[in-house]
Amino acid sequence: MASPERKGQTFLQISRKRLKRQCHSSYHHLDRVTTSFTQADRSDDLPDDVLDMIFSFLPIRNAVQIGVLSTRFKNSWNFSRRLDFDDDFARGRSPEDFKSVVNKVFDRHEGSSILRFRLCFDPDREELLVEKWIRKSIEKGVEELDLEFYQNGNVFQGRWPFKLNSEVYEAESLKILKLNMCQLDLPPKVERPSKGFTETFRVRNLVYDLYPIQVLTTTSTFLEGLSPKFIGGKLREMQFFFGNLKEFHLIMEGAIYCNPYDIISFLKHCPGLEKIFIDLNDFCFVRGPYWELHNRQSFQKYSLSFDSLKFIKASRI
Amino acid sequence: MSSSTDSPTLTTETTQLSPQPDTETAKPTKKITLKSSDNQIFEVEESVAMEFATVKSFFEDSPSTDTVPLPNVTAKPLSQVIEFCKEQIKFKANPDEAQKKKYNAEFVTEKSDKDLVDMIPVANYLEIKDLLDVLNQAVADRIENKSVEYVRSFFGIDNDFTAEEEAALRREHAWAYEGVDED
Repeated sequence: MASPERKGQTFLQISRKRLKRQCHSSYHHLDRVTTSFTQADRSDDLPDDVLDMIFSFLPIRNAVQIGVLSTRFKNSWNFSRRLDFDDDFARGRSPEDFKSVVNKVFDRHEGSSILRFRLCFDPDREELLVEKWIRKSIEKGVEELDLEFYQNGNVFQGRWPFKLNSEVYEAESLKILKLNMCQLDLPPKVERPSKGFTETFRVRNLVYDLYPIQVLTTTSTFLEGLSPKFIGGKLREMQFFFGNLKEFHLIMEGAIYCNPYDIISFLKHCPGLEKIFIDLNDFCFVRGPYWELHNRQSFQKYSLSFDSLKFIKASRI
Repeated sequence: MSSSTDSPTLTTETTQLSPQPDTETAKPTKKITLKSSDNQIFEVEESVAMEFATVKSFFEDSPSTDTVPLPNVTAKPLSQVIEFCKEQIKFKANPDEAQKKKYNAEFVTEKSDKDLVDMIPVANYLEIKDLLDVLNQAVADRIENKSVEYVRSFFGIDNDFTAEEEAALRREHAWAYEGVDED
């Protein structure tokens, strides 16, 4: 694919052009590209753009700290790929303070890539803001999304888990999804208009294939959101498929309705599972009338096989 | 470290496995010669050389060349980069994510700080994205939670802030410095 106008250029010129082009792709922020590479006998004079690139792999808090290295690096944190606002960060911080720091980081983010976004936050009344952060991280190709939502004050005062919208399960880059007090908001098929398709195509099209996700950690609220539901008077199964899921970690926390039937109804959508972890915590399975009436028989009828399954670990802490 | 990087049987295999769909001209020879800035000669399998996007585009532009000069690259980091790419070719032929992760982790763990830092401009120059990601993360891990002074001396960076400027910056981002012991 030799393009004529490139003939006669020296190797170095071509490389420099390629480097420039590269800045606009993955290492987007290298807009001060120089070709003055380090002399190999001294590793102490890396060019600033290479240093910026290294610093972008630091967790955000560290990236901000190294801003005082020298004036050249005071804005390096705007390119951080690891936006960790986890429980360590949340500890002892007011929700207002938390919110403004996270928002500032997202607003000033200039890098083209975010690999990880961790958030430990009470999303109450800040749902739109949280959605904005999630959307930004997805736009920048986030691979690991770790959303640890909790509720301030008394736990489970009848509040709903955070509903994740379609951006999350349509994000192609996403490989690891960790969710605490979250549900995927999979709309039932009647709500999705699909004009002009035949019935068969429509049905297939409405299976939510969450193929990219390889590791999923969730609390039991997540399963409750995906278990079969009464829609229009009929018990309907949610149409989804985790085609590539290898590891599933279930935390039984605040489980109210979740029972073995919910778990198995979920697992059957994940044929490639290799490892299953279940933290039972203080979960106690109660064989109530709902189980006896609706679930017990269906549960006993299941015969599933997981060809790739290597181990299951259930633990009680 | 894997001991089989120089296995002759394997390199023959990988040559056959390397498809070159965009090369319009006659196929180059199976071995490609790379010349480092300190005039060391490296003969590598074509499939390995094509992992280097910069070398690949060089060949697309001048297919008749037999030696690629690498004026910015010295022998030591180059040999380590070649070693890494040879392994990646194997994983391309037989994908095994777990093994690949393990190899990549071992590759960086056993390297000195200087080796890692010296390889980064080389991987950047040769445009080997996988290696660049691995190296950047490895170096970032080594300076994570280290004091500013440590990072300055790690990379040889001179502080050009005045005391007032530095204090102002620390105040502006006070959240990042909470609970950090200075040096």
